[in-house]
Amino acid sequence: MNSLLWILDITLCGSLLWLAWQTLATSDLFKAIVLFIVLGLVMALAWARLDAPDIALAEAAIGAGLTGALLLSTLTAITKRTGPRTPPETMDADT
Amino acid sequence: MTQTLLLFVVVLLASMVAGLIRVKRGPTSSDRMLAAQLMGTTGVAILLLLSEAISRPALLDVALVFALLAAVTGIAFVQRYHAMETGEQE
Repeated sequence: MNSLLWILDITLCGSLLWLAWQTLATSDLFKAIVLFIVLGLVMALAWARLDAPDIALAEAAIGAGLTGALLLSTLTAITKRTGPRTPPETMDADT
Repeated sequence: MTQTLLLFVVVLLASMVAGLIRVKRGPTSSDRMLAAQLMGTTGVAILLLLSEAISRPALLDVALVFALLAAVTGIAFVQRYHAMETGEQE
């Protein structure tokens, strides 16, 4: 029983770290939003594993669900107004 | 019995990690979003098995919220897709 729980915890920790790094490092906004949603899901699993079901509930509801939907609609509004996004590096070079 | 349930949890978590690959290098946005949806479904299964394995009935509620909010993000994505298509036609 212990070894399986260890595998579970190590997989959760590893994927959490990888997801957090990818979410911050990616330059594609849509990809970052999806990675953020998945990060919220894995985070809720981690809270559930840590015996904190109420925090897992809040994380799944707010972190993954609501924030994900809000970020998606915000990205839609931005893209409709300004067209496809230009990378920030070129904008910095121009100004 | 607990051992078997935990083994299933590990297998499901491995499939979730495999889904991460599709999120990372899915060519289109639909691939990424569908992988996220699949991971939400897998998360529900993991929580149900885990609540039985470590005997925490409260995790059932978390599974319920998971299932509910996977639908919300799916709807938001479809709305975005629709808005982009009609925006291009104008």
